[in-house]
Amino acid sequence: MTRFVSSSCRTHTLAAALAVAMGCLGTHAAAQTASCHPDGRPAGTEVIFNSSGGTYGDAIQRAFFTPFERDCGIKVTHVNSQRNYAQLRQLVRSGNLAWDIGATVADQEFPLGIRDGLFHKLPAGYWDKLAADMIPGSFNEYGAWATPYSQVLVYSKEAFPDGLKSWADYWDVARFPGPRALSNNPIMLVVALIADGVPLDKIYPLDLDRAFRKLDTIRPHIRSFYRTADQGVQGVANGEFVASSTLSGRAVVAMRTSPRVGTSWDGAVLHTSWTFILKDSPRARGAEALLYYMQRPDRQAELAKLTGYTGGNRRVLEMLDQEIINALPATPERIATSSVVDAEWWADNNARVVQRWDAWMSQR
Amino acid sequence: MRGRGVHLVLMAPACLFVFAFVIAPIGIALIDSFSNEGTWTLGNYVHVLTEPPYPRVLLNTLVIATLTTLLSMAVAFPAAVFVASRSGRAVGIVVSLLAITLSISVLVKIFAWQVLLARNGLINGALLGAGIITDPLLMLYTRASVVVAMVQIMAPYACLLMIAGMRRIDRDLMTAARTLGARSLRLFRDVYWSQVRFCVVMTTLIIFIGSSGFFVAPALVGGPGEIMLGMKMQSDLVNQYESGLAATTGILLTAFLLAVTFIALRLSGRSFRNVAEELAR
Repeated sequence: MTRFVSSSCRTHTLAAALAVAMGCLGTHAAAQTASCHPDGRPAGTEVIFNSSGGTYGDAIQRAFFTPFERDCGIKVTHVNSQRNYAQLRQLVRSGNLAWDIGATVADQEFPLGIRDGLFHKLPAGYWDKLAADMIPGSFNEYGAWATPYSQVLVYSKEAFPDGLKSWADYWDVARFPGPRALSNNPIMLVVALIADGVPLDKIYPLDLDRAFRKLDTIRPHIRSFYRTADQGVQGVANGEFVASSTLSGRAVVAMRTSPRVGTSWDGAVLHTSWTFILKDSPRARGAEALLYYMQRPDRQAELAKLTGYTGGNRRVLEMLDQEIINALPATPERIATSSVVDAEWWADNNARVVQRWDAWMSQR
Repeated sequence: MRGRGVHLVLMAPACLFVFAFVIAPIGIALIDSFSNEGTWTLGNYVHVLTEPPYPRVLLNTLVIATLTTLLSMAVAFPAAVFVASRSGRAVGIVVSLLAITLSISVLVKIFAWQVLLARNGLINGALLGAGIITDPLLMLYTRASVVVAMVQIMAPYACLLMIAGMRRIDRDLMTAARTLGARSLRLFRDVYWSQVRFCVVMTTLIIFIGSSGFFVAPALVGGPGEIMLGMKMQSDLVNQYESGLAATTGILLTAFLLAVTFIALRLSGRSFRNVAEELAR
């Protein structure tokens, strides 16, 4: 069955190659010779990118895929499917790859995928020309940052005109009384430790007992541990809560639309999603070219304009207005006051921590 | 012989459907629940029955589903009795209005409750404005808000099911009993209730089964701790990358609901066979 699928794909690829070649002959023969692969050699004719779609899917299509097809002559088929890690592992182990390149959807997926051998290893020297432009730690031999995003503190400017400055203020119910919301996500354990005064560079390994004790003290003041992305910030905007955690992009949008919402970035928890290529992808060279293209600063700047999120290329900052830069979660200044998620720690401990988190959550 | 062939052909789609969407998934879940990395074990069951948060979540689910069922029936039963005893156009209008409420998305209904029950919402606004309260009531993100939202969703189903059942009873028996001198209590118990019992018990059962699988209402208007089984299963599947615990939870819930079904049938004075025969008629 697998063989049938891949052979039919190959004929399809061949047809696409012919079409592209003929198109190039007719119009701009020069474009065909310039490869978008860092090694300068041809990179195939097609690649399949999987995303979860939605507005973010539309934005990466506009910022990356459409210009990549135009500039590199490689067709990008953009498919949308939701998946979890177990399904990703199953996909690679079955050998019946439905797509070539995609992004992680949880912090621990990237280290887990490397351990489980699910990712394609990039060729030696792949990053050489780009390395100096990239944020340290934002790339390695299996991929690069797709979009860093952070958990920030939002508060009601109506209730507190001077604003909350930090997670310690969120816990200070004497100075800042009122109902609160917090994400139903074990990453809030990090927030509790920051509020308890643990320095940002001493967060990992997490002291779970200390974090849960700190959470116990705020629990009576939390009306909702929300599960949908913008419930917390929406509640702050309509007066249901006086403070909440939320994702940085949601905070930026809320501040534009509601005068009530203020944001504190101090002690933000920085997550990163990674773009990776599946092991044994038949179109790995095309995927390598696309991954490389996605690091271009002008393309990442375009994504930032569309979504308020960008990748790991530092030169993006030269191309954006200050207003957009202020909303980015991973500028050097932001990183200095953020707790960067230790994905390795979460990969080792996630299962155990989630069980304890769910147990704590279901207390009455 | 030819008749039998036609029978088989006609039965095949239904059998395939039941196999593909009922029997096969339950079979897969059973295997998943009894295995862990290739070995057969009862570990998942021990875990779900003893380790927190599962017992708590199970209890939450049963309490919320029971409250929802009782309140839905309390709202729907009198309404159904009333509508079923009328005839003509009025019944048509009420039934179509109920059907329209079912066509409104569950999410829309729950968001409406978020607006109504919010701290700055309509109800608090009205009560504060009228001077009845001085501080806004905390209504959203409580067990009560979950149950209220679920009753709004389930009550129309209960009502429609019971109207359908109650319209089939023989009203002449009531008249006959009354002319023979039966008092209202006796009339209700021996003539009315005995005819509607099956439909009421079955409706209660269907509402209970539906309520115990709820996900969106507790997730969107529930407070801290208001975790139901569906939410825990989702958390296990999405965060734990293994289906064993979620499968076990599902199997336990299925087994429990099956037991409830048997009890309900017993209460309704019927048996499975009896019901199947009635449905086949």
